[in-house]
Amino acid sequence: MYAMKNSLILFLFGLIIISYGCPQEPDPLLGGNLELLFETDFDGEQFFTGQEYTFPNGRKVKFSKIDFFVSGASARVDNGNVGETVDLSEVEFMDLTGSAINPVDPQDAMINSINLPSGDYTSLSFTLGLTSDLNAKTPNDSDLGTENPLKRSSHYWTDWTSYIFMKVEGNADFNGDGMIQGDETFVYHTGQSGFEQLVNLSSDFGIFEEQTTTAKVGVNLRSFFFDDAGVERFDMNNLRSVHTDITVIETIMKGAAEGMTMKN
Amino acid sequence: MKPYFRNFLFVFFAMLFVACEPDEQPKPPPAGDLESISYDPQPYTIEVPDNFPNLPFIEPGSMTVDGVELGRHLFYDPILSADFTQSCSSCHLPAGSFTDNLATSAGIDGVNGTRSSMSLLNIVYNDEALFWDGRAITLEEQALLPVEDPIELHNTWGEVVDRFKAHDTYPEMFRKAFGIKDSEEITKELAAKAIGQFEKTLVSSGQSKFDREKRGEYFFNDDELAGELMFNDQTDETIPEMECAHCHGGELFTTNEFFNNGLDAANSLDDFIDKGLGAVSNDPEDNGRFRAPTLRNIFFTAPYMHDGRFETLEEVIDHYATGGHVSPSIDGLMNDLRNQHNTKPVTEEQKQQLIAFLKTLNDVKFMENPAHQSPF
Repeated sequence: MYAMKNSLILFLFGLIIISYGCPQEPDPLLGGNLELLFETDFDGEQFFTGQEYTFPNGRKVKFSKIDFFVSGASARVDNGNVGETVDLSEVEFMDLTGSAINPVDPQDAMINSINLPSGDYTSLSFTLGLTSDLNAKTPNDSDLGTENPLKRSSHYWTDWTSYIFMKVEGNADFNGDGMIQGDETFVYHTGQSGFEQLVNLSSDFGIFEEQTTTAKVGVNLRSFFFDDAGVERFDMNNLRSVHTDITVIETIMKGAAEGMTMKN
Repeated sequence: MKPYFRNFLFVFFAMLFVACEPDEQPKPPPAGDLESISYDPQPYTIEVPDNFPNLPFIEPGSMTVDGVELGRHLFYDPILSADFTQSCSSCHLPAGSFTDNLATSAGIDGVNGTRSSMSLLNIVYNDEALFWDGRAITLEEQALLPVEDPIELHNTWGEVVDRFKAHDTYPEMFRKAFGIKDSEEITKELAAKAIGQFEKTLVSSGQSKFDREKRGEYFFNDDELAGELMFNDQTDETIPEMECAHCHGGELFTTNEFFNNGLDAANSLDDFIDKGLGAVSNDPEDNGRFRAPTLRNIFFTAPYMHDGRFETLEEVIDHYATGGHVSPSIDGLMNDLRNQHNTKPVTEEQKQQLIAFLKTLNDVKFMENPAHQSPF
């Protein structure tokens, strides 16, 4: 009986040792997660690289490349009576090119934020392009981690000492013969600090404890080149390739920002 | 010993043992023929020039001194080919900045491939895709392919691995590189890992004129400077833009992306004889696109393009200066160059200036680095 009592005491003592001496389980998930997808369309039509679309002036167009940086993304959450702005991401690279046979892989165009406070998210804001502090970096900077989007040397232009904020390339029927020819290309590479665009969008999604919410930002490619009234923002035919004309760079950046909306 | 204390020790250690032991008991090591050889992996650190970007992510512990040394041996050893005549180095020679300076290369049966060998310089930075058409993603994946390609080494990995196992020194080298206990544990995957480790060490010396200029140790002459300005489109309205940096920008002088640079005319996307990336991705919009190679050491890697069609840099620049041939997937910048040619053609002097700049990328020290040479 004496030995049994002692064993019981020792058993409890051992339990205490084990509970402190062995590796602890990770803390349970705090808050909820958000997958914010960027999804390209052309006036509501699903986007595929190489597929022909029609501009408001009747000109046929197809795209071969569309990508851009998004920086400083944040969201406003109403949690009871208190509102709070939550940072979502410092910088992301959105590759919306996809292919002619497959839609864009969501992993290539997504802000993935974890452990967000639960609540109703009523607005979203981000910079299309790079904020000036981020644009002061270069792909060679030693403080950039291996997976940092700013390591992308294909999107840094030495002449500007700036990243290329956005690349939009494709073909259009510039000569109006009804056919898109190989020599009818356009290349728009935009960048330089001052031309980034702040995008503010009203949103209506909730984040729930230990759940992942998916929300979508629509990117209407038509809006890059034509306004809501169907007026061409600049003379594409005579400005088919731009990476130095700051007027056109600003126009395309503003048009792209206007073409971004929250999708249901 | 008092019963109390004995019980205490018994229960205490029993509970610690039960609660903290790993999920699986380690199995006793099999009796192996290599266990007597010491396994003491020393991490290998890749040295990169100061003006270079950080290296891409490399799995910690995945590169060791012995792993690189094994890879160097395998890279240069014709044991990989069916008839013991060719190795990786047959098409990737240090003197050609790890090309073979041929338009296309003949395998062991004398059959030529359709593509020119690509330089391996700074290949560690390529996190896009390998080969001209992107058909391999990693160096380890790439290293497996030429051995069994009937127009290259025309062997089987089964045969090659058997040769390794029966070799005088390779079992010991595999042991030192990977800690295997038995020769039977040698695999093609381990061989590919070793070759990949060696290839990742093929990094610029940082002693080219360009690199020294970036560090303030050299000043470009007038021609080199003029060439650099055209290369980067830093020109005024009187001097042509050569649009080079769009595909060959950054310290590595390549974006490792895929482009159709107007080498062949085509009326439709199906008309390309060599579809390049399109044959791998199955996306017709990719037909005619090939990976942009690095321009570092470009002077030493002639002939040029995926099929070696241009023998000299002059021919290459003539091609770009005139905008190449139109096809449905041609890059828009080639059309810009063609339009520019009609209004502001590149002069012979400007072509030579561009070549003068390209020659500042010559890195002889890289090619002569003893660590990169054959161990045989």
